[in-house]
Amino acid sequence: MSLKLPEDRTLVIPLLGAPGIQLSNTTLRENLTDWEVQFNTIRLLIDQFQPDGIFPFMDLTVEAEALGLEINFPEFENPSVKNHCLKTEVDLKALRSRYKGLSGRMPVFIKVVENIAKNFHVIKGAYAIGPFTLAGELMGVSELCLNVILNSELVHSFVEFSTYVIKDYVKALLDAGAETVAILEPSAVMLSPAQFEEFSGRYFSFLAEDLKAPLILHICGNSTHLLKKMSNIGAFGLSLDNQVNLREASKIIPNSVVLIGNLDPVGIFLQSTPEEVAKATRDLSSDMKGIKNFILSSGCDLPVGTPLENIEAFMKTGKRGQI
Amino acid sequence: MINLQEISEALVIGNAKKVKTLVDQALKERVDPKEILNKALIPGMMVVGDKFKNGEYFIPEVLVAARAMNAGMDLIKPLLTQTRTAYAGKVGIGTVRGDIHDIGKNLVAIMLEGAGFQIIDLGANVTPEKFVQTAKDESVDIVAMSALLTTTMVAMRDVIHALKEAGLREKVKVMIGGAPVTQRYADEIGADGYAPDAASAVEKAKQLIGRN
Repeated sequence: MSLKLPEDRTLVIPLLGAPGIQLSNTTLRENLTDWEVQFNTIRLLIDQFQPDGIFPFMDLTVEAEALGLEINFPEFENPSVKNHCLKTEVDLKALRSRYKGLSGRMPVFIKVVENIAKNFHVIKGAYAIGPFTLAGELMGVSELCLNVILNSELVHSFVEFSTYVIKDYVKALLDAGAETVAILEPSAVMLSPAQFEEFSGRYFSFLAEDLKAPLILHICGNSTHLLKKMSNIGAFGLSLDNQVNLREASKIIPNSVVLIGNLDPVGIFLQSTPEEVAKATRDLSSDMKGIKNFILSSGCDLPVGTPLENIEAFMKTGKRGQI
Repeated sequence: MINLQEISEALVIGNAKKVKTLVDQALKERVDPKEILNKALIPGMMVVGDKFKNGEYFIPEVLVAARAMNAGMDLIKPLLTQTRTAYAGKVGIGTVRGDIHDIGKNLVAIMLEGAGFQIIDLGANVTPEKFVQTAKDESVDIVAMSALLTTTMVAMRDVIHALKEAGLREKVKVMIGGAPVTQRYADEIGADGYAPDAASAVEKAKQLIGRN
């Protein structure tokens, strides 16, 4: 499976989702639990902004919840895992024997992707959590990081099982019509390059090879120190957050890998005026001029409450900027 | 005779067992706990902070070193005189209401403790009332707040407001941090300081209470 980008223009694909609740007059929780509500919000976002591609809502608890972990689910905020209660090989073994494949709210997101694929001629994306990050949800991030040094075998067991779960989910998303899946691996930003390679990168490579699908790796925050390692794990694309200098990154990343990013979702999209957004978009576009395989996007998921006129300013400026 | 430098070195490489044994030995040799703190644990944590800042250490190494520091702190804490002079200052720290992410907050707490501050760790999802109560009951010098989410960082403003209401705003310094937080936001809500990472948070805290 492959995904070809047009050579004559830069695609503009912000990581929309949450800001769409203003258009559909719904709550975040409704969108994350009901595929029809979410699909309707996505439809309104596509109609309003005409992006070149679309991803569903971002939700980092779907996989952990499907594994039976309890989550907090406020009406207007992102859900979060309540207790990271799996600590040992024994806990993991029990979890492994309970695992029955797709469950929880995974079908909500699969259904959303299926309907986007059926109804729209844009690039269809989907999200899944990354293996190291899911292991952190199971064990607790601090404990996982400690064990990276103190008990690496245990970390490998957790990450390996996470990879297995993620593979099933990603396969279902691809079967539903996703053309690319972004693997969300925020917790990897805490690792050294060598630790990243050992505990995250090689599991990403396994997913990409095994699924033979164009996968994107997304790491939140400043992942500059990991760029070299990220560049050779078989990713179709790298979605980088706003702290990374994209122009500099393009010197490290081979041009066969698509660079995606990276306007500041908070400082620019959420907190600035449309004029400031337009300027930042122009600056980024001109900075990236001449770089092939670049998708103009936000550095990360756009937060709830992002002014719609700011998204409008980004889309208009981004599309106008191309020849 | 115990070598305090050896404790520092064990801390830097995260050898908790060795730190514990050496601190225990030092105490048996009647070394002043304050000296163990100031000449072994704090310098060790400063090395860790520097290594973190210059990209030699990453979060796993810092957490392992912090674990080693705590192994030593657990032994000397009960013995340290409770007088203020033993500490660089007192900090009430927490992740704000609605936000359960505590790794950043923990790192800042660890680095501050490693720099000689006394830490009152309020945990995560801390209400403005709790921040105010702590500022009052514990007479802290600094209220430090963390948020990872854009949706929760607005609670920082509520805490500052609540401190004003309680008549405490002039008595404490407020510092904030976390992924979505910026200097601009700190200025906007009237916080005294912002730090982009745990190591800078130490410098900022020292600066705020005039110890730099």
